Amino acid sequence: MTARCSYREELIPYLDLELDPNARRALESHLVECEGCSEEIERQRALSEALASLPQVEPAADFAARFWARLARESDMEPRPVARLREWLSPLRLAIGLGGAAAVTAAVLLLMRTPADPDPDWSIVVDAESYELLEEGDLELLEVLEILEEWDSSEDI
Amino acid sequence: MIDDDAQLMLAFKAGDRRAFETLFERYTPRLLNFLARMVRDRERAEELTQDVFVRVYNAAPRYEVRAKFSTWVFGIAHNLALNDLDRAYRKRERPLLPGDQRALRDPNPDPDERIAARQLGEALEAALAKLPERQRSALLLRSEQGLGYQQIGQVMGASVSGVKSLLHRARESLLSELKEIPE
Repeated sequence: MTARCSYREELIPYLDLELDPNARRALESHLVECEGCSEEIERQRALSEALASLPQVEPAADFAARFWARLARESDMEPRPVARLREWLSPLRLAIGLGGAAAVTAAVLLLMRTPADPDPDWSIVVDAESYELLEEGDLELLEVLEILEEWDSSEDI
Repeated sequence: MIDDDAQLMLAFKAGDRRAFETLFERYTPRLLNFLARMVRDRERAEELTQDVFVRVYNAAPRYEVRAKFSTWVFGIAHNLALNDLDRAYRKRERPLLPGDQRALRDPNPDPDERIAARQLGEALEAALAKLPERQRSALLLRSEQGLGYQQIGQVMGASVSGVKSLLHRARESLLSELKEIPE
């Protein structure tokens, strides 16, 4: 390569795959006969490889958690578990609403027709045995419901 | 043709929050690396990365596909980085000494890491830090993020020939600096 070599400016675009086919073919022909340009392109190629091997900067372990918390603070975004639960429930809302209303009606009718039993201890409705029968997904749902409950109570404040 | 990431952004605009989560996961490493090498401060780079996503989130209602998603998002990052560097310089709160690698150094370096490779990497990081900001941005967008010249021009508000010139000068500066490194 000499100072006047007209291909000098094309070497980096060549490595960056930015040359059109005609320009690429012309440069490749030139490289065969120009020792200077061949040396220069190897120098640039080595630099490209060194740049590509720079270590990646990894985010802190709590980066994502901090971001979602910040976003919830700075926007009207719901916390992700709540949003996900709402999405999950939305197709079922009508069915759940109707089912719930039917269940309440049935319970009221039952109480009216039978002698009053001692108040059931609802704390043991989900006892150890039935808890074991819960699927993993159900456990996640229970956790989300607890978060939703906390979220709703915090809104009340 | 709309790229996949722009499709995700449109889905988010239509109410699909998971599309935004996907974009967040996909772009966090890229933005963080770009910003860390621009501002030379890992913690500040994390804050700026979050700033980018907050802006993307808030812009969703007005989002229209005018370019590749990566062009748009790196445009935001590029501007935030330059503003941050200006602010840090004015306040002299972060001297950003060229060659100071502590800000980016892995806190748990691999003990088997080859010394020569580490020397070269550190020298390259130091040389990158010495580059003028626009040269550094152009080089990182090309070599680290794989953006094309036209995209880089859109991100930086430069012509394609301007991008070529920035890259050429950046590379010459780096090679000049690296001459000092033993083989």
